[in-house]
Amino acid sequence: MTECPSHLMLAQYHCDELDGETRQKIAGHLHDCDRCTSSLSTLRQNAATYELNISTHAGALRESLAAETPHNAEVLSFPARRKTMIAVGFAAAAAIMVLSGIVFWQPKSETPSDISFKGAFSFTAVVKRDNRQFNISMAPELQAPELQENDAIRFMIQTGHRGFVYIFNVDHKGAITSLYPFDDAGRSMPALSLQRPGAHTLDGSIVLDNSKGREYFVAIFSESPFDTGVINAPLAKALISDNKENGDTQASTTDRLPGALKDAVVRVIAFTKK
Amino acid sequence: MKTAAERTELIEQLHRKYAGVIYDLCVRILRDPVEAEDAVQETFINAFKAMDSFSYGESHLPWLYRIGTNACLKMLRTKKRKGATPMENVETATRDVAFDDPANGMSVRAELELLQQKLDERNMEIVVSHYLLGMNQQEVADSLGISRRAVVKRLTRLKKELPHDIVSNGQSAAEFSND
Repeated sequence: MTECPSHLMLAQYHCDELDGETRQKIAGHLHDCDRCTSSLSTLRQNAATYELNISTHAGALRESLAAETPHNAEVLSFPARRKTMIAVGFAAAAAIMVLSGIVFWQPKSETPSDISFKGAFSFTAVVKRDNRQFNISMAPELQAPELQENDAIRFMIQTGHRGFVYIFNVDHKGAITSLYPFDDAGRSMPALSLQRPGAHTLDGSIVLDNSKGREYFVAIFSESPFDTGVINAPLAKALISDNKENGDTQASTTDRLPGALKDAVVRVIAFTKK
Repeated sequence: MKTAAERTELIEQLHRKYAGVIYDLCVRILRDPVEAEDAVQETFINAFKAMDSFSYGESHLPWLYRIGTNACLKMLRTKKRKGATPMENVETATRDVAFDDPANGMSVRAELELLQQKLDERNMEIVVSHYLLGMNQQEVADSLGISRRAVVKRLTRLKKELPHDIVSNGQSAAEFSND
């Protein structure tokens, strides 16, 4: 072989993907060509450098691929009784929100366009109003969208890992209403287990009542199991306050979380009910 | 058409097998180990999205090479050069990776960035494939799915616009290819 092989061909040689004859020609060429020998040596050195951390890179890739498959959204299943219990629970607590749970509209399955998902955790509320549907996610406090009575809300989350999630509502007085998982008596419960990473559309919907003011949907995701009781009203207020101070959309303020949630990610969706 | 799970599994297999050499490809183009790592991820994500268009026979490597080259060129187009604080970054860029010619590593990068402001995507791919990755004209033509004659015409037209380091980087390949 008089012609230097391309970089691609050297890579195929390195990966042992050439037929015997071509491989032999390149081996002969390498014997006589310092430049190609050096190039192959460089290739091997760089490949080895990358492969030192191949498991880390593979993990990051897996997260990214999970985020690329929203159409395979998994619908979480909940005990059937939850749908009726939710309405009872909200009525009993005189909460700001009214959960109908009988609203079975299906959000469009595509990934919300306003999410920039980097593989850790994202949280979106899909709002259905009359015959139209739109998404709200982690907007800056000043740009919090306005929602109104009878808006139906369904939640979508995306995770890069298996883990546990807790979603709750905080009203303008700082009162917490646990949404996922729901508990009508306000007891602490294990956070929902997500069996696999990817996109999840949570079962059931909520319908907003006519109360006014700023409210929040908060999602906490942890790779370790935890109980919903670790989030109390003062802590929820603190998380919201951090979100306001930061003025950004991520609100991944984990400093204030208890030890059981050291690895947790917090996502806050602010909205105003008019 | 493969399911998402099948595509994911295949991409993870390809990543295990080829990520190292794709990283070397990206280092050769970007001259920056951190950006090269990002480009490798981008390559496999783009391959995942383009899985249904795969038609390169038994070997996935040429296909991944083209996707990787384009991922790097896209990064050159969209990212500001880190050379805003050149000394620190040159040190970082040359510490963890190897170049065939370390002396001109960063100047090739700088010239590519300037060049991409003048050339369209197709011409950039031809220049990088030929001069930086040492493909001969027929290999470039095969990779891009155009005629060899078209590649020759473009390279002839482009050669006078090409900066010194890029031409000299690929000089040996060009000389040997003799076509």
